[in-house]
Amino acid sequence: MLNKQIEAKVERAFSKAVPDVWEGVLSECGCQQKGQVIFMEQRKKHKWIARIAGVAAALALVAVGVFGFRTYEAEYKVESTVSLDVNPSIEIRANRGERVLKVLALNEEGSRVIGSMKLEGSDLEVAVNALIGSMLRNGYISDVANSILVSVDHADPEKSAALQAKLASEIDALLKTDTFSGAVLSQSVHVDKDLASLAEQHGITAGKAQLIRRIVEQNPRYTFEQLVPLTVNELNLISEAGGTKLNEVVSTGTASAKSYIGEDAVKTVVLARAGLAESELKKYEVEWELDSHKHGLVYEVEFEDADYEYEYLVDAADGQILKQEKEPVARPHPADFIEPQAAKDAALTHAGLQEEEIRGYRYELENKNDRSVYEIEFYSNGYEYDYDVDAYTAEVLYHSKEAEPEMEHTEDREPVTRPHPADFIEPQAAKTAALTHAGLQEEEIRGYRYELENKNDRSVYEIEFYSNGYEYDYDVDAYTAEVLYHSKEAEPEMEHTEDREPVTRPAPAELIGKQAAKDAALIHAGVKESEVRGLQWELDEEDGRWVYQVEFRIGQTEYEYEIDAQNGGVLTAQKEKAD
Amino acid sequence: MMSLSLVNEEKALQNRHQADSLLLRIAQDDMQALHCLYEQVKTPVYAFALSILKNAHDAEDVLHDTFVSLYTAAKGYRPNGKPMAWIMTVARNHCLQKLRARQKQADLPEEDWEDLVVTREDTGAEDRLILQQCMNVLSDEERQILVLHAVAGFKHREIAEMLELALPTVLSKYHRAIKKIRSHISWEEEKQGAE
Repeated sequence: MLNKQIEAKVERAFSKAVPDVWEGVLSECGCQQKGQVIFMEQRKKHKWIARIAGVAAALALVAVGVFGFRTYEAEYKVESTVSLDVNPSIEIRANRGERVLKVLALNEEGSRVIGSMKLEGSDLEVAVNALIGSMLRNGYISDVANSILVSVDHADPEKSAALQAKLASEIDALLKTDTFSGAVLSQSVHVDKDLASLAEQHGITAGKAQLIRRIVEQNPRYTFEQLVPLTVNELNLISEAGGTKLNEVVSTGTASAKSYIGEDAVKTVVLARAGLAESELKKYEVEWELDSHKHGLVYEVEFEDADYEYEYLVDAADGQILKQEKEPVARPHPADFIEPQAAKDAALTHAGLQEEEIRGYRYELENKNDRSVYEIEFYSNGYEYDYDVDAYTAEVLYHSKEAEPEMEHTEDREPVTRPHPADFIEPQAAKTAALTHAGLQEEEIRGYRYELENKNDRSVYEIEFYSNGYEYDYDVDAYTAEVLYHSKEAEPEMEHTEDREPVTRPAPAELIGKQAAKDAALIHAGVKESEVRGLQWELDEEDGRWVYQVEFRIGQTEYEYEIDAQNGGVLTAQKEKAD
Repeated sequence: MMSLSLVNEEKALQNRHQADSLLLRIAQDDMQALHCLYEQVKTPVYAFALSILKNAHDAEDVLHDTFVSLYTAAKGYRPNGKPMAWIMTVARNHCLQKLRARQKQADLPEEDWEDLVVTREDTGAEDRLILQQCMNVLSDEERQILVLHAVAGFKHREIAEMLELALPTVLSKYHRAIKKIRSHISWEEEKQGAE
């Protein structure tokens, strides 16, 4: 048996024998807290300590003499400065060996946290540990305000980063309590003159000044002065709300919003004030905002019903409505509008084109300068057409015609735009080569497209398709059908060709219906229902938008459409020859 | 093995840091910190007291008195990275006090520790066996050295300082202690196997 095993057995045996005396300790110490002092026999020990201390002091003098300035420097020179900001702000200065030389409270809360703790001479980690403990105990860090900023200033950037990482992970571990987890922001700071004077001017640590500078850089709508009075938790909240990562700030955890009323409560408050039911809402958005008067966080809420546009500012802490605005929306009843087809006809007539000459048709009903218009877009013969058509009168309000931007081609329009020298293999042969390589059948793939490209003086078919949640990319030699390159990756989130603003999900009653969706696809393909086979449709939700997927075949060609379920717009159209 | 000892050392270092900061918090009347420290070091404190006093009642008193003292004395404690040494010094002083009181009374049986240990339900046969060995087979110094190393996690060098012994003495006594325990365990195991 190994020594270690025996040691472990000994330890376990003793641990089993320990009696529980905690209650007794607690009651005795509790009594002392109330002022009773018990007699301690420690005088003897003190004398002994004093003797040792005398000898130590003498030795220390000799040591300084021998080792001279270098020792002094190692012991007493400030090598790193660590600041902790919650709302209490504390600065810790440490020597080369990470021993604490000085602990400074930079505000009143900071001195409350330090209390009577004597941290000088202790290890830096120990001091940080003790300070965090005190912040927790005093309620400065809690489930309602869980953020802390750790800033390290060390002349050596590598050491600075290492110390930053070490302290951040230590604090992160300390803040994983039973009831909540902390949110730790950490950064390395190089204190230059500007930063130092900025910090001094506002009475904050250089670390907090640096953090605020970084937030302002990324959110120019705030000013430095506006952010100074905020706690680190509030700063963390608004920087999270900005959605962008702050430069060179490492962030773990999520800022707590528990001291605020929350988005659900805000909604209740504003709807009650506006006298609206949730079902009447056409649009609803809420985001954090800073109230410059109150120096606190507010919710900015914007919403619409059928007739009005509302903007509210709500105090995030108590739900008080600070500001409200209501304006009529210039949105007449859809029944007055011309049909989408009439708008399309107007645009086509204007362009001098027939329905069958165009492709990629899409439209959107928009409100522009208090005027309802159909925004129309389509392609024809290498040009991109844009139209705004008045939704009442079908008058063309705006039009543009531009050369079509360089695009990847879907199969249905490839042959006319691409040279196809006679000695190239057919596109279908390249497709077959890629499919064979991928081990897939034609019917298992979708979104197939290819492009004939010249790569390093070599003509290749660039091929792309999707199957079973994977995106496949191939380069196939245009002469030999050899697979020159291939990749297979998890399929990315689907992107929509239309604007990507989140759309309030409509109730199914507001959708155009299967028949209309099918019609939209058939019209786009320029065919009648009686001519197609295998017609099927499906209502899907994609990225918060309702979409009809319509599929059918004509002869050997398969058509696949995505139709906007709200306005009947064609979102994607694909056509493939079946084998 | 190398990496394991590094991990252990790292852990020991962390524990020290933690104990240091707990003591700082205790100085602020933080009872939660005191409880935390109690849970962390009650075993080494009790084991050390038992190894000196060989009397479970007295060891229990010392355990209690040590924590009351830590609470009172924490305000004067300056973190130095050696909190365990300080805690054990406090415990040892209480033990010496007990021994002095015992000399005056001279009426306490030395080996009553077994009664208490045996009546505890969660103590297994092997645990009892090992405790018996530690208390009955080892010399006082061997026992204290083994406890300080195996239960309290001190290095031999640190133990030498604490007990004011030469390092080679500590090392040889530690190895003899381990040897004695090992031979008794295997002997007991053989005996059980034979039955």
